[in-house]
Formats: sequence, structure tokens, C-alpha cells
Amino acid sequence: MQSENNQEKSGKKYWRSLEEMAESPELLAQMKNEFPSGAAELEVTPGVDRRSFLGIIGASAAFAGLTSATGCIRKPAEKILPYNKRPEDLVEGKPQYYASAGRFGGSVFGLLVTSYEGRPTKVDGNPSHPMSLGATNAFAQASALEVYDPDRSQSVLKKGVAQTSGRPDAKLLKTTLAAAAAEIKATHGSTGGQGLAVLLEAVPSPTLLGLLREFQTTYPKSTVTIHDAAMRWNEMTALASFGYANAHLFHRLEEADVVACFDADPLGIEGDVVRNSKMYATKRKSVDEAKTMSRLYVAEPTFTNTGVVADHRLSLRSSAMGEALLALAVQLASKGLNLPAEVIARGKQVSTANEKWLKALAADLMANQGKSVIMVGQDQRAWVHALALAINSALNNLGKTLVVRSSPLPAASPLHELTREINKGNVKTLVIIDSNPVYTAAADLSFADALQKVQTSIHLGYHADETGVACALHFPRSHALESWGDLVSSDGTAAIVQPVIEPLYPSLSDVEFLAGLMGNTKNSYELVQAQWKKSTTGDFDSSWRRWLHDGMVKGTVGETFSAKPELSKLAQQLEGLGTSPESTSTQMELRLVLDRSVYDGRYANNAWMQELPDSVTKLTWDNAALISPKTAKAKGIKTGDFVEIKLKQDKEAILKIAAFVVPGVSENTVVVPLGYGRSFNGRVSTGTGFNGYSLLFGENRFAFGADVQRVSGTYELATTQEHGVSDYSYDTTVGKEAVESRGVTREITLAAIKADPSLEETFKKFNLLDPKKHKTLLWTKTNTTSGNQWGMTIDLNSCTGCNACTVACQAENNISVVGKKRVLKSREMHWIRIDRYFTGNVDTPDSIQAVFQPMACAHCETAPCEQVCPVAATVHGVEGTNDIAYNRCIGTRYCANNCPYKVRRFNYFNFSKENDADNPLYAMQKNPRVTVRFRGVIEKCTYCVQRINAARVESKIRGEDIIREGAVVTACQQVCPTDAITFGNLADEVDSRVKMLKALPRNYAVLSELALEPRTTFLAKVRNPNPELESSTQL
Amino acid sequence: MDTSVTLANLEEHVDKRSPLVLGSETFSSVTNIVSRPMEMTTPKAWWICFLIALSGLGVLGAAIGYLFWEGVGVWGLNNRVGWAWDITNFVFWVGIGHAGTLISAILFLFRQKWRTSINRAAEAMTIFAVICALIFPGIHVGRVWVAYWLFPIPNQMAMWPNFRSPLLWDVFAVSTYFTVSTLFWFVGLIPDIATFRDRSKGIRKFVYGLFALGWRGSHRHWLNYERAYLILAALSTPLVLSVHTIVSFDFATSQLPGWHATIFPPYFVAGAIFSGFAMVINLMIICRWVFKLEHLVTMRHFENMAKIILLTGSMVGYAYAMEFFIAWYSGNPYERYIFISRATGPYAWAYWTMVTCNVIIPQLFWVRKIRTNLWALFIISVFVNIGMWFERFVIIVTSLHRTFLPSSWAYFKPTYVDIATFIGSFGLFFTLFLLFIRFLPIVAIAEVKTVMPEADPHGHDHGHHAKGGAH
Amino acid sequence: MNQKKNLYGVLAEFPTAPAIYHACEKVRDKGFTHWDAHTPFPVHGLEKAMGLKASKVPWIVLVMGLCGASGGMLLQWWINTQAYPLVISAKPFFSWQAFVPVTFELGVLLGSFGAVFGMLFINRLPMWYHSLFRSERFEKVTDDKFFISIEARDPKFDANATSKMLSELGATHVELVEQ
Repeated sequence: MQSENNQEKSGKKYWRSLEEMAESPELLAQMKNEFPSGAAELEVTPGVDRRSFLGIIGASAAFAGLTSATGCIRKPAEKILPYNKRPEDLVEGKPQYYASAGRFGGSVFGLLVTSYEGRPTKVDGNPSHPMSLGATNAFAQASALEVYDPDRSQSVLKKGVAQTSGRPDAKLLKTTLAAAAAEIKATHGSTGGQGLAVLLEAVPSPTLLGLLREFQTTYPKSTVTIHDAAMRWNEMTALASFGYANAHLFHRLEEADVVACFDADPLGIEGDVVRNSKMYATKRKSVDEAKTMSRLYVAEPTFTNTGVVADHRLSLRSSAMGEALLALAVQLASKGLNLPAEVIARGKQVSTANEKWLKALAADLMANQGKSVIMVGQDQRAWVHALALAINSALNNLGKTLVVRSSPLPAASPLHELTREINKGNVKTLVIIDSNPVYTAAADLSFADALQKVQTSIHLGYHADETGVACALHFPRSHALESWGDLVSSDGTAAIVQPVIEPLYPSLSDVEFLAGLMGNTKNSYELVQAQWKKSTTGDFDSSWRRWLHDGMVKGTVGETFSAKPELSKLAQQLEGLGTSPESTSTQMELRLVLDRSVYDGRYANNAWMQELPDSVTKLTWDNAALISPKTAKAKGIKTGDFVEIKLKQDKEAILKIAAFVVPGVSENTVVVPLGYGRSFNGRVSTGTGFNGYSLLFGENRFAFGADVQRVSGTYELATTQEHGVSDYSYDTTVGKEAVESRGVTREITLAAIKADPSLEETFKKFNLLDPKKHKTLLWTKTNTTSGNQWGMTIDLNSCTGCNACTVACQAENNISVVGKKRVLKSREMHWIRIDRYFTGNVDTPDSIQAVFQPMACAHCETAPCEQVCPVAATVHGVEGTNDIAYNRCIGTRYCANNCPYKVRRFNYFNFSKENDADNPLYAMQKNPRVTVRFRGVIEKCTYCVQRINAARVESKIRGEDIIREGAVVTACQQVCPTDAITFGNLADEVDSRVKMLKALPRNYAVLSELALEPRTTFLAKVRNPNPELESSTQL
Repeated sequence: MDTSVTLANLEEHVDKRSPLVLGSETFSSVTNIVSRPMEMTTPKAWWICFLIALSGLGVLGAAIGYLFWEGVGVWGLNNRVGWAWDITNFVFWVGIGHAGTLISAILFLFRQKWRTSINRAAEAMTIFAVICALIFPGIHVGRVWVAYWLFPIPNQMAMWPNFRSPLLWDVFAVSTYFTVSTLFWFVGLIPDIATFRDRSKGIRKFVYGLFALGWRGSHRHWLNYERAYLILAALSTPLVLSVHTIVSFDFATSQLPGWHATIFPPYFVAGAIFSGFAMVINLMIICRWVFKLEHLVTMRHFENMAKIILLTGSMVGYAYAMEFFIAWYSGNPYERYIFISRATGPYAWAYWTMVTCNVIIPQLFWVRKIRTNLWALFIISVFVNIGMWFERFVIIVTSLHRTFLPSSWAYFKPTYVDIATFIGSFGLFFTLFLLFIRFLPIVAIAEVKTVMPEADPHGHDHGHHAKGGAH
Repeated sequence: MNQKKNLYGVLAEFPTAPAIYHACEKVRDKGFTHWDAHTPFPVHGLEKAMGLKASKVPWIVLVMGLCGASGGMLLQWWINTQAYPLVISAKPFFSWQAFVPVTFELGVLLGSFGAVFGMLFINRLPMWYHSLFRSERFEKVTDDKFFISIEARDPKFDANATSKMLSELGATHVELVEQ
């Protein structure tokens, strides 16, 4: 376009106001074409600043009506409804909230998207959605940055070659899609879809699946394959064997007093984590009033979030889970539980080293029939799932703590069947919807080679990823925040996905893509509406508006199976298993796990997730082969050494990877997180970690008989804890210091609370000084007398260390990413970090316990940082917050040195500027209410002061000086799936929840003997050990 | 180095102290000796040293320039260890300075006449060391361009510094210290510059004349002059003690285990004198040798300084021991841990370097043969300064790398910029010092004359040497 | 006796410290007022021999020192309680304990200013021109020679008589110096 050339010549261009900009013919020109190409300019000329882009987006949102006459973005103009405000009152600088939904780590839940002048800046949970209840996880938080990924696919690719001159071309997109549709029709129209295959992820979207059915009616012989990291094939098989066709399990932890997880991580990254965490937390919080608590047993090969919070953790290799479960069955039977004889017979054959543990568990389960649940990890074999279901059913838990629900997904074949067909030459055309099999397929499938055998491969993807470039044709996908859609969560609740921003680049949503391949050129808005019109009676528009407003479709519940399983069917499941030596053998087991930061690799190009420290290892920017200290010692491996993992099955696979020695991993086990070492060259993902998929054989993510050897060379691993703690991996000094000598984290037992309700005796061992003594100050405190006195409590008992708060804080407060090199120098900038301490003897993995402690600025009343600042840049606010005036700070770092909690972060370089230079679009995500920090100043948690002030404005409008309870919710508090964080007004005598919590006996201040009087205090962790196993638990 | 004369001379006076001025020097010969450096054609050795020093200064400039351009991140610091070489160098240089003031002020008050031949050079050393020291707090801040906010300058923001911060006390203490030392030094120089004025011609005469302020030896002037000098000495004495006390407050008044210690003020002052004297010895040995001052700067001067090093070194050693005792006795786990980790942790190497150089090696000075051997003196003094640099490093870095929360334990590695800046600061120091010895009297001419027997208005007999120094 | 208008006075040179010491005693006893002794270094006790009063410098120092200290404390009081009170570590606005170091330093600073500039002021320095500099021999005053100068404006002054007296007191050389 002429105008654009001018713009490029003149370099940066600023608009003084939206109005001025709207009148500029240049903009109107941009508005006429389908997509505001300002986005592209941002991409091709990284120099372009955020304001001009904001101008474009802002105007495109504000003038949607104005331009509709001139043939605008979409016709007819669509209305997207703010959550609880009317769109008319768009006030610059005032955010709007839109209800939507998203699928993260295989779980679908409702969202609430914050948008400033048409820029989505933050993604939170929809409080009224049953699956999120206001909370989210780290992945959902990260999607606020994902939409601005500068490496996202921006144009059609043919055989990996971009089809545009770097400038997005909407027309080409449409024509190419039409051409593809025509081709499919030509090749497969006559044969009814013979040799036509569709590969997609397990996306429970009614519209998409509706279109898929339509597709299959058009092409009856076409096949559908589902390939998804979160797909629970084995569970489905097990359920099917009991007559539950196409079903999945739905857990209700709010009902469970005893939870036993076998290789399962319901509070980490497996399944409906957010809901599970919420419900689990309710059973832990009851400790304060009812003095009761659920008990959590976990058997696992390496620490998961669930394993860390467990009351009893058994370090057990994945391959031994089935046998452990069998042994458990025997124990239960011996206690009179009615289980099929074959099972018991089979179970008697196995010898387990963990009889005591299983006995205790069995007793608990028997005592809590109907109030307990056994959960099995998705990677366990089908028969293990079946066995678990049998036991659950026998324990009368079915229908109470877990429900069998029918899955909205169609009957589909797994990837290896598709590959087989391709290799047979039975597949002419392959349509891949937003899946990346070339990277995520098991090594033995060698899918990349297979893909070349397909004549026409058509790919829709957010990135031009490994698959995208390998396919004949690639289409860019719109982000979920850019297009219409719908999703059904595992409890059956349906929600409409609404866009909050125009697609930054010409792209297609998955529904538009699939429809397009059938020659249907409707856009996602029309498609989704069409789908829902079918199932709606009465005034569609009003109910539609209601759904958008609520963020979910009323009355959608899905189906549940009520029939009891026929346990007799279990027998054939167990046939021919034979006694395996696995549980006792000293051969190395390889365990591949989904990564807590990049999941299956899809977040690998997301800077926030790359820099997010892993919950347990605290590792950033890489994955590594996790090995237990004992095994490592035996093999002469130290953290950072390169090891070679050889796996010999029908073919041999080798992976050279850095080792990371960490307590809690089972003996003779090596754990490799997936999702790193991608060949897709994103500016963030490149050069991070090692590709674990090269060791993945078949569908099971664990394999036996791996050979692990130290090879020459070392690799730098950037952790955010234990920087340079000498030879850390061989002892738990750090934990011992923290937990035992210093009482930083306080852990007590339910029994202790019952015996000593005031906890005075129990806390003695943690207090270095008599609490009464160290309250006295040498001077009378200068009190801050405002009616709002802010304070926070963090409940260590609920915290699952899920990291959501860290990312939420990063999104809310414009916190810079610093990169691996600087994390190695321990210059990471996170305002809230999650400290993790191990205790116990590293040589006996069962004795290892870990505890999480979120740590951010505690806003001490006698803040040590304030008195040392020579320029009074950090001082106390009248509301008891410890404030920093960034532009007064001269950067002596004295405050950081004197901060006992080490929560102050220094801008050693101009990080924010560098971030914007490296990733031009990231600037779009910035929260306009928070200062972007510059080089040479200190920053830290502000208690989300911008939110406090927003709430103050609201209450001033109501003429109130005291801000109402609940009006201020900090970012970390809002996101927390277990409500571990409570924030509020300590001066509010009446209904301040935080004040109430601080009155609890288990409330304590870290380093209380320093008389800092921090406003953030912690609630001690409570474990609920089984008296029979008391001895085996540490502390 | 010509040690024979002086040693022989020592042997002669085992019973009574050797005189402060040796040989048969007269007033005018003293004047001649001290004026020689100013009048002689510049020796090659001086040029060589000067060029080396200048290139060091260049390195400093480059390092600082790079720092300003890129940000403090070019140093090895991190979010746990916010100070390292920057503040270590600051304390190191300030410490060096103290010996100068001590010699000129405290020894003056105690009528230690032996100070006269060395105090001028020592004071110069003080001023140059303090200049080097002042650089570091200046450049270690994140936003150098607003570093002036440290001073209480009225401004439209109506913002004032925080007078509760030890760092601000530092600003006042060190800048006062610099100003007063400079004044003290200059006052001492006036009569000697007058001497140079009266010996030189042309432009030099003009320049020296300018700074001599028209001094004409009037006794009415001497009267006020001596009074002022005495008062300056009296003021400098508490000042010098306060300066390092306040520097130690940076650490002592903060929370950190390993910093939060009441023993710091005396311990820092002792350490400062310790390192300062070591530096004086190094410098004087060189000057004495280059400019043939054997008769003015005698072995007795060196021996006395060696004794002071021995004393302060032992005080420092005592402080180390006492820190450990208190750490154990207090029963404070943080304190206890930090000291154990100092001696056994990742930084044990630094700790033991410090102990060796500061406590063990100076003990050699018990042996007279060693404390009267210039080579031994020189080498040991170098070790002392290495040790004292490490003392500051150990205090600052090891305390920061093992703080209250074990989750925040980190390790500090210096970058080449850290190292360049430190080396560069020596360049600056020696550049200034070389200019000083070339153009200004390195020995206080007038003062030396007062301690010569001929200076006694009542002295007629000549058995007077002993009295010369016996005061 | 006729005196030259532009005569500054008479300058007598002495070889040693004792010599000038005794000479000064005599000149003092003769009751001269506008006279001075010039020495390469402060000769001890010479002020007694010349009958000079004690120096006033200490008083200046005292006053200046007190101004510095009180001013320092006042400034800190004003800033922290009047100009811009800030809540810092919940400490009292006027935390005098924390203000002691700066108070002290300012006291010392102004005190030393008093000492140095007070001394120069009393001595009327800098004074780059002085009649005595006309004398060639006077250059030795900063080396090894001792001088007594008696000014012409002294009521007891008489060019010849005074010169004669000085040489009798043991002066090795006596000369008249012009203004």
C-alpha cells in the first residue's frame, strides 16, 4: 500500500488521538481490508512502538460502528458483550472484562479476559464457571502473552515456503483455502472420502465436532484421528471394557476424605487441575474450624505438585504401580472388601516391598468407603485403570467421589493407527487441525517420514511449527482470544469462546478452517451461532447475549453413566500379564512426563513459561534428566553433567541430555520432561532443553531397561534456587537449615493441633525468641493511621506450588523476562517466587518431603529496606504498604541487601526495553496501570497497588473512605486455585477475612524474631499422617 | 637500596633511640635534599612508572565508560549479592587513607616527632586514596546521572535525602574527610611551597608563589599557623575515627548475619590503620630509594610503622576470633551458620587468604631482623594489603551469599569489568602520587628542621641527638 | 634625622636559632611594637621572646564548629518533621540518634574551615606582594637564615640607630628595605 510505504519511510508515526487517527485516510484504508495491517508493520519493523499499534487496535475497536458503512472488519457487525458492563462505556484506561473459555493442559474452564482499548492484557478465571471458580493455572495466564507471540504463523505456507512478501494477505488466505477445498472435493468427492484423514486434538468444541460430523457425512469413508497430550486412551479403554463407551472419569475431590494417587497428578498438570485444586483445598481448610482434614496418599516416581502436598508419599516407579495396586487389592480383600477372586489370586503372586504403606492405605480406604478415591495416572496401562475402577466401585466410591461421564469427543483412532494406514499408502490427503505430530509423535512411529508419503497434507497451526513446514500446505490459526468458538468442559458445562481482539494477522480459527475445507466460507461467528441455534428454543438472541455475559451456556450438563461396572470383566484384563520383575529389578526405568512449564511443547515459545521455575527443580529455560542422588552417586553423575540415555526396543533411541540430581526421584529411574529441544526456530524456544520425544516408544510414557551413562561434557542449568549451593544434590542442608534451624516454613500435624489448639507448645521449636519478647521496639512506632491497612496471609497448607501466582503477577505487573544467561546470574525478576525446601534423607526417597512457600515482599511495618535507602525512594504508605518511587530510586541496591526475604529485584539492564526489542509484540500485553520499570531501579511486589487505587476510586464514588472487603483482589490471590492467598484490610474490624485468618493459631511471621512485623504472614502447613505410618514421615 | 648505613646506625644506638635525621645534615642540606626531586631532570624511572600508571587510569576510564553505557549489570552482581567488588574497593581505599591522617594528626597530638619525615607523603596518600574510594559509591548506583540526589540540594520536587541511611552518613563522612584532609595537607604545604618559590625561577616561581600565598616565615604568622595546625590535627583525629566507624555502620546497622555486629567500628578502624601503614611503607620505601632520602626517612621510621602494623594486625586477628566467639555464644543460628560457612563454605578460600595475610604473616614483625629489612617490609606490606582487600570482600560477599532464607543463597563471580575497574583505581592512585612526588615536597621541610638539634633556641652543647627524638 | 618617605624598615639577618632568640628578647625589651621575626620553621618559644599574645584562631574554630553542628541537626529536624515528613521503617520523624553522624561531620567540617580560613584571615594571607620580598637575602628565610624586621612606622624607629642596634645584637647582615 502507498500509505504504508510512506509510513515506513517516515519511520515511527504517532497519533495524537484516536480521533485524529480515525480520520487519517490511511487508517480507513487499513480498516477496509479484512485485517489491520498495522500488526504486520509491527512485525516487519520492530522499531515501531506500542503506541501506534495501540492506536490501530484501539481505533478498530472504537470505530467498528463508524466503519461498518464503508465495509468494515466483519459484516454484519458483531456485538461481543463485556462480562458485566455495557460496551458503550469504553473509557480509555478503564479495562473491560469479557467472559470466554479456554482449554489448557487438557482441561476446559471459563475465562474472564481483561482488555484495555482492545488489547487483551490478562486472562483470569470466570468466577461463575464451575470448572474455574475464578481461578486459573499458569498456562491460562501465559495465553495473555501467547496471543502476542511474534513468531506466530502469519501467512500461508506451501511446502514450508511463505506465500507472501512478508505482508499479510487476507485474500490469498481465502483463495488458497478455497483451492484446497476444491482439491479435496476433486480427489475424494467421488470415492466418499476414501484415503481422506483428519487429525485433530481432543478439543471438545460442539461447533468443531459438529462440522467434523458434517465432514464425515460428506466424506463417509474419511477417518478421524485424535492426537493429544492430555488424551486418556488407557482410561477410555478400561472404561470401555466395563461397558462405558467413549467415556471419561470425572473426580469430585470435595467428597473425598482419603485420596490415593498412583502415578497421578490431579493437582499438577493432569486433568481438571484448577477444579481439583479448589476442591482439594476445601478439604484442607476445614482444619481450622472442624479440625478435620482429608488424607492424601501418593505413589509416584518423581515429585509432582500432588506428591509434594501429600500426607504420605511413596517413591514408586511407574512400572510398579499396577502391582502395587494389586497388592493393595489383596490388602483390601483381606479386610473384607468384595473383589473378584481372579484379582486376588493374581494379586497374591506379586511381592511388594511396600506392604506397610499399602496396609495403612487399605485400612483408611476401608474406613472411608464412599468417601475415598483412588486415582491412576493417564500413562498407566489400561488394566491398571480397570483395576482402580474396580476397587473404587467396590469401595462404593463410584458416583460419589468419581463419576463416569460420556465424552463429547467422537470415536477416533490414535495416531499409531493413522501412521500404519499412511505407511500402507491408504492415506492420500491428511488434514491436520492444530496439532503438531511431527514433533510430538512417538519416536518409533517416525511420523515425519510417514507424512512425506501423504500426497496432500494440509495443516492449520498457530505456529508454522515442525508439522507446519513439513506439510504441503499450512494455514495460520487465529488465537482463541481472536476468534469465536465454543468448548465443553469435562463436567459438561458448555461455554462460548468470544474474541476480544481482531486477529493480528490474517488467520483462520479451527472452525473456519474445517468449514472452509467443505467450501463453507462462513466466519467463526456465524458458524458458532449456527451450531447453537440448532439446540436453542425460544429467543436465540437474548439467550445468546446471556451466555456471552455469563460465560457459559445455562443448563448444559452432559451425560453420566449410572450403571455399576461388571467387575467380572476385569478378569480378562489381567490375563496374560505374567509376573513381571519390574517392581524389584535394578534396571533403569525411563519416565517421560509432561512439563510443568511448556506442557507438551506448545508453550516452548512463550517467554513467561520458559522462565517460570519448575515447581520442584526450580529449573528454567531447560529440561533435564532427573535422577535421584543415590542413583547419581552410583553412576558418578553430578548435576549439569551430560548423560546419554539409550533405549533399545524394536529400534534404538539415544538422547544426550544434561542431568539434574534431585531428591524424591525413585531409585534406578531417570525422568525426562517433554516439550523442549524443539526444531521450530522461535526466538524464545530456540536452544532450550532436549527433545524427550526422541525416547518415546508407543503410547506409554515410561519404558524399562534404559541405559543411562555419564558422557563427557557439562551443561549449564539455570535454577532460581540453590544458585551455587555447593554439592547441594547430595544433602538437604538447605531444607534442614530452612525448616529445622530457622523455622522459615512451619509444618505441624493435625494430631498436634488437636492436642494443642493454641499451638504455643508446638511452635516453640520454631521460635528462636520468645514471641512476647521480640515485639518490643526501642521507639514508639510512627503509626500509619489510615482506615485501610492492607495485609495478606498465605496458607502453606493449601499451596500446591502450581506457579500460577508467579505468572499472574508477571502479567499484571509488566515484569520483564531476563533470559537464561541472567537467571544463571540469579537476576530473575519474578516478584513472587515459590520457595521449595526438601527435608529428609536423600538416600531413602520415601523419607524425602518437600514444602512450598510462596515468597513476595511482606510489607514489613518496620521495613529494613526503608531506613537504608539514602534517597528515601522506598518509604511507607499511609495504608501500611511499603512503596517504591521508581523515579526517585538511584539504585544503590542497599535495600535489596538489607531485605531479609530477598524479594527485591534490581534492573541490572534496561530489561523492559530489551524485551520489547526482542519480541516487538510483547509491548502490547503491558498493563497500562503499572509503571514499566527502567534500567537501574529496584522493583518488588506492591500488593497490586494499582488495583487498590482502582478500588479506592470506586469507593470514593460511593462516598466511602473505607474500601469494602473483597473490593481489592491481588493478581496472585485472584489466580490461586486453592485460595491459599488472602488479602484485605486489617483495620476492618467487621468482616475482614484476612484479619480473621491472622487470628488463627497457625498464623506466623517468617523470621519473626527480627521484629519486622510483616504484613504478609503465613499459615503453617498441616499434614495429616496416618498414625500407623507416623514413623516413616519426617519432622 | 642502601640499608648498610642505617643498619650500622641502628647498631650504634641500641641503648638509646637513633636520631630522626642522620648524617651531618644542616638546615640548608635538608632543603636541598627535599628540593632535589623538583629541581632534578625527570628521572627515566619516573617516566616509566608514570606511563604505567597512566595506562591504568585509561583502563579505569574505559571500564567506567562501559559501565555507564550498559548498566551495573556488566558487573557480576545479582539480586542476592547486591554489593561486591564495588563496595569492597570503596572500603579498601578509604581504609588506606586512614594511615595518612593517623600519622599527621594523631601522632602529631602525641608529639611523635618521628612522624615529620613521612607525614607529608602519607597525607598525600590519604587524599589520593580517598579520591579512589569516592569513585566507587559514585559509580555503583544504578542511575549515575541522578547520583547527586545523595546531597541535600533544594529542588522543585521538595525531596530530601534520608538522613537515617548509613549510606548518607557515608556521603557526609567521606566528603568531609576528603575536604579536611586536603585543607590539612595544604596548610602543612604552605611554608614548603614558599621554600620552592624562593628556590625556583620564572613560571615555576610564579605558580609556587601563587600557592605559597606570600608566606614570609613571619613568626606572628607561625603563631596562628601552629595553633591552626594543632586544631586541625585535633579535629582530624575524631574525624578519621568517625569515618571508618561510619563506613562500618553501612554493615553494622543492617540486619544481615555477618554484618550486624557491634564490634565493627573499632575493628574497621584498626583494619584501616593496618592497611594504611602497609601502603605507607610500600610508598616510602620506593620514594626513599628513588630520591635518596635515606637520611630523612630512616630505618627507625620503618621500624615504628612495622610495630604499628604488628599491633593493628593482632587487633584485627582478635576481632576475627571474637566474631566467631560471639556467633557461637549468641546462639543465633543465622550468625552461627554464616561464620561456619565463611570458614568452610564456597568462599573458604577467600576467608583463609584473609586470615593468612592479615593475622599470620604480620607476626613475622616480632623479629627485629625482619622489621628492619626493607625487602621483608615491602613484601609483607603487600601481603597485608591483599589481606585487607579480602577482609572487605569476605565481610560483604560471604554475608550476602548466605542470608536468612536458604532459598536465596547464591554465588558471586566477578566479571572482567569488575577486575578492570579495580586495577584502574590503582592507575588513578599512582598517577596522582607520581605527580605529587615530582612537583611537591615529599618531606615536610620546615617540620623536619624543627626536630633537628640545631633548631633548639637554647641548644649550645652538642650531646643533643637523643633529645631531638626523645620527646 | 631625615628619613626616606618610602622606607619600609630595616631587615637584619641572623645565623642560628639561639641568636635570633636572644636578639628578639632584646628588641622586645627595647619596646618596639611594629616588628617581626622571620624563620624557616617555627622556633620554639620565640613568641615569648617576642612577647606575642596567644592566637585567636581557637575561638573562630569553636564558633564555626558549633554553627556546623547545630545547623546540621537543625536541617535534619526541619526536613524530617517540617519540610517532608516520611514514615520510614515506622521510626519517629525526629530520630535524633540517626542524625548524630551527620551533625558531627558538619561540625568538624565547618570547624576546620574556621581553623584554616580563620588563620589566613588573621595572618592577612594571601598577600602576594610584601616589601621584604625586595631583599635578595630574604629568600633564605625559607631555607636556613633567620631575620628580624623592624618597620619604619614604629615610633621608636630610627634607620641608623635601629640598624646599629641590630648589628650589635649579632646580626650578620643588616639592610634597609624600601616599600
